[in-house]
Amino acid sequence: MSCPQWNEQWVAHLYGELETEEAGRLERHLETCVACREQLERLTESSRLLRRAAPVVPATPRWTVVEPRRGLSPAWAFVAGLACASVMFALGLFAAPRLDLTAGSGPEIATLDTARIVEDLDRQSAQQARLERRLNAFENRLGQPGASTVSGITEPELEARLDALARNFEDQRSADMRYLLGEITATEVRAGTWVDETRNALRFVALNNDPRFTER
Amino acid sequence: MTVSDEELLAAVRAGDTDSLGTLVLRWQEPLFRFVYRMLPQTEDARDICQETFLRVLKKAHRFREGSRFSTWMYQIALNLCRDRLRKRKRWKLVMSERREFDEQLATAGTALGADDDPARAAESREQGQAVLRALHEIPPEQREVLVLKEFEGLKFREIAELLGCPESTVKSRMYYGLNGMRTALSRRGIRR
Repeated sequence: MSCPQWNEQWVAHLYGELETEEAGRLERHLETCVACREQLERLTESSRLLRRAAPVVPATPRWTVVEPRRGLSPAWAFVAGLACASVMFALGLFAAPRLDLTAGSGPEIATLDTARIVEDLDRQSAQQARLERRLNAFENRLGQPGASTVSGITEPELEARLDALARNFEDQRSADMRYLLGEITATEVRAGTWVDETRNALRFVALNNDPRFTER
Repeated sequence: MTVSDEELLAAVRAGDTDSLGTLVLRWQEPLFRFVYRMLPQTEDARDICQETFLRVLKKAHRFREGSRFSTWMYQIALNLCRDRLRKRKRWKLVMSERREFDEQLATAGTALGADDDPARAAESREQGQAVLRALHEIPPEQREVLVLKEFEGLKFREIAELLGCPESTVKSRMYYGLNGMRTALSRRGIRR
């Protein structure tokens, strides 16, 4: 077993962050302690394996800034625009199967009502927060010993309720995303250009081999 | 002359949203890379990056003078990642099947580049997948340190600042994290 007083120094030494004097003391210790030498070798190997296993990071998604609507606070317009634009790709995974990407004519031209969208987002967030609180309450009851017996509800019944809540939550989330994407594609910020970008983005999502999108 | 992150944030506090756009352009890639390595799903990483920038805008007034913007931003993102992981752990109670970090597993072991020998490439991928699974078996506080050190290349001092704990704690978590990974790999038959 290695000497525990050197535990922190091992990792600092491994990554070359040990002070010169301390590194010297460690080296001298290693010359005489076989257990510590072996421990350092094991740590080095773990570090090497982890570095080799580093996953490839996909391309960073593109963020789009929407110009503020006249009369609306620029901060809120930016928040709404950034929120709406940047979830497009993720929302497309849920809503794209319901949209006809090959349709010829685009939606009617209208001004993006960022204030209303922000209000809707806030309302949906509040609904999700309420669902979350209910789930927390159920989870706390599940975690208490004998709770299900005291309340007269069996564990399978509690689990079934949790299951139903989870499905409700996911259904709500899917409905929120469909609604948001419907709002975005039904309006136009810049004449023509925005619609094309939206469609190209959705078409890109459609061409990805994501089973959640390609399933009918 | 490049405007500093802190100066841009001061401009955001004063109502200049263009400055936030500059910060987003500057940090979107490193932030996405960091969040993606903490979480196994691209969709989650996108959500969290978006939420991080939104919180930067909403909480710009809370940024302490003299602090570093990048540390503050990463702290916001890290807290969001932790919340997401806690939620995912809870969903496991009721959902029978969830695809866990399939994307990361698919590319594990390919960081060193292509191998001409298909057999060695396959072995490398399998080993990489085993390592990533082992990484997700160790406690989250240890995993955070390993990710920040090995994948992000931060110094121990920087990790300590990001996590808000002493440097000795960071090193201790690193030590036990590497040991824990080794134990998990041994269980899978991966030995040197």
